[in-house]
Amino acid sequence: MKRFFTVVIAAAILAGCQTPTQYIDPSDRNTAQTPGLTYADFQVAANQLTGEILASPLMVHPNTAGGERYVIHIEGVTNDTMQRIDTDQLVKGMRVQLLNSGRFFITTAFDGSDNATREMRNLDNDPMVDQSTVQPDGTVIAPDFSLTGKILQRNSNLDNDDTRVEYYFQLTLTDLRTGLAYWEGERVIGKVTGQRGASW
Amino acid sequence: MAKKIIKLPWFTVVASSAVLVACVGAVQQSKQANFDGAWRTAQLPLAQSFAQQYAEIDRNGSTGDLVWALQLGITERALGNLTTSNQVLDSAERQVNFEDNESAIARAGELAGSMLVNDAALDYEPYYYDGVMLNTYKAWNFWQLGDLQNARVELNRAEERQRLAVRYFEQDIVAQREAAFDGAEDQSSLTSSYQGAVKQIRRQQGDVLNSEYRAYEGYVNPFTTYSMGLFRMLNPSGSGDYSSARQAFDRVASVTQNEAFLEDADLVDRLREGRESLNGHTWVILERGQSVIKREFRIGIPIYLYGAFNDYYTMALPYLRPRPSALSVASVNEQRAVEVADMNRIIETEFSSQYWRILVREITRATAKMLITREVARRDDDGLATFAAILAQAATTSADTRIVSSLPERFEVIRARREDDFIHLDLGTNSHKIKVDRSARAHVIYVREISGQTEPIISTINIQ
Repeated sequence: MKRFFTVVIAAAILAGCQTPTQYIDPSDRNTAQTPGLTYADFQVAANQLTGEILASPLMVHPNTAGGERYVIHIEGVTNDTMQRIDTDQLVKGMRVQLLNSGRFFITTAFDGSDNATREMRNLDNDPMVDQSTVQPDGTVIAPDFSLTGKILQRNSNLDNDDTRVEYYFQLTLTDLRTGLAYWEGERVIGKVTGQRGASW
Repeated sequence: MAKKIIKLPWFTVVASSAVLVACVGAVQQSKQANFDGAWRTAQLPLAQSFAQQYAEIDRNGSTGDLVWALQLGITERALGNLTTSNQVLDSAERQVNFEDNESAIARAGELAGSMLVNDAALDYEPYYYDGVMLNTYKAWNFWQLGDLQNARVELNRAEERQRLAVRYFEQDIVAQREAAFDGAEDQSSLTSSYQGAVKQIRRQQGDVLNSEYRAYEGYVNPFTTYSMGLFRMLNPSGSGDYSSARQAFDRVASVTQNEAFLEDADLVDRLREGRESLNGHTWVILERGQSVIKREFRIGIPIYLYGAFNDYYTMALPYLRPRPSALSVASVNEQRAVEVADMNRIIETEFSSQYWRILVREITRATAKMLITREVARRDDDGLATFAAILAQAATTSADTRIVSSLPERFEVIRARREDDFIHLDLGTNSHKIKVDRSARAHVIYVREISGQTEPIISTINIQ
């Protein structure tokens, strides 16, 4: 019986050391931190970069009053970090805010995110489909701007042997008619970790 | 009837346990011999089967034995099972990161637990070059699978591991050694024993302490840096990649002191400025031969106790032994291969830099075992316990000879141009006709040649 209690107490102590599963606020940057990138980091970067695009006088369509909007094509954001991340985590947050602003359209016809625009036009020979409802050719809107970018990571040593980790979110909006960059933005997120080894 | 409880003396229990744990060394040496035998003769399915058995990978993909997970990942790559290779190497990487970030307290506990046995009873501590090669191989796997995003991530990781290696090597190793001696309980005895051991080793196995190699400047693995440069040059995502590629090739030229790599650096500039296009450029990467392995040697060293000489003690220590590969000159259209990295040099310089740690641990163990044997003899009435203690002492004397033996002896590269549908690779007198896709802009051909007597494993990346 004595041994039984010893085992029970030991198990209880061990269980007590384990962090119980709990909900966290994913946008809270002060708890449950990691040297890698989190939702909170993407949210901050997306908010700040979108805010800059919306504030840029060059990114206002000259006929906004007439209801016209710029169409943006997302070319892609390269992950140049040491983390296996999906850069859509950044892009999605920006797309949502740009669309919700009412000042931009985002095209999904050319970036592979939705191939239906192209594929559904192949229904024009399908006897099953009411041909009057098939989308005609010549109606897809070509984009005015292309959004490209990169997320970079740079690690460096601090004097106390800790590691400073910096993430650079770099984006460019290029006017497809002229090839000129109308807007460029960079946000840096920095962290310090005492981990001796890899930061991923 | 009441059960009779047999009470065993504590030293008998300790001695029996030590003998059992000591078998770890012998088992490990036998595993290594099995795998190395299959690998040397390029019997890859057999090598794979041994590594699978030893890596102890569970249902969740976690490995119970790092060194074998690394061997398995490399073997799967050689077999062309690139996705499996990455899964296994991912598991190995989690273990490498765990070992790297293990707290000093946990390490001390582990070390204390091994004090009555040997280093082989400890978890395998990965070398920096293990981690760098792990990520480099994963990068090549992803590149060959066409997953450029993840290939880039792995190359970044490999470069980061090189930075961490520099941080380690830049710390004054002499200062670390002195700090370890200063922290010892019986400092003068440890110093005397250490100096005695060094003298003996120099006499018997001098090359262990005097590496014939000098580390590459900045402790880089030039193959990893070259891979990074090649990848960024051939898969640029912006002008920054051309700058990084140029820097990488310059660095390889500098650390290998071979200006041949400046040709790649110049090509980067021409590509960036649009003065040249990738019209049939071909790089043949050769991973050749077999890296050094660890073997054991035994040596009698003087042990000091309380500042005075006590007795000689037989110690088992590891040394590195090269393996003959019988490799011949590699060429394409008479364009000869250029050495990118000497893997043996990388392994040996890191091994030598850590040798003092192995020696200090073994002296500490020898001292502890000697004290225990003496205590047992003092309390022993019939001599049986003393005999058991001496037996345990002998059985636990074994060196840690674990090493990732599936690495190559060296990496080479041949730059060539596509002239027709084939690249003609000559490895000595053996010719290999490698088909390439003519619609591709450039090609990277990866060749793994385990020895001059085995058939090379060839795969091609066509850059579209």
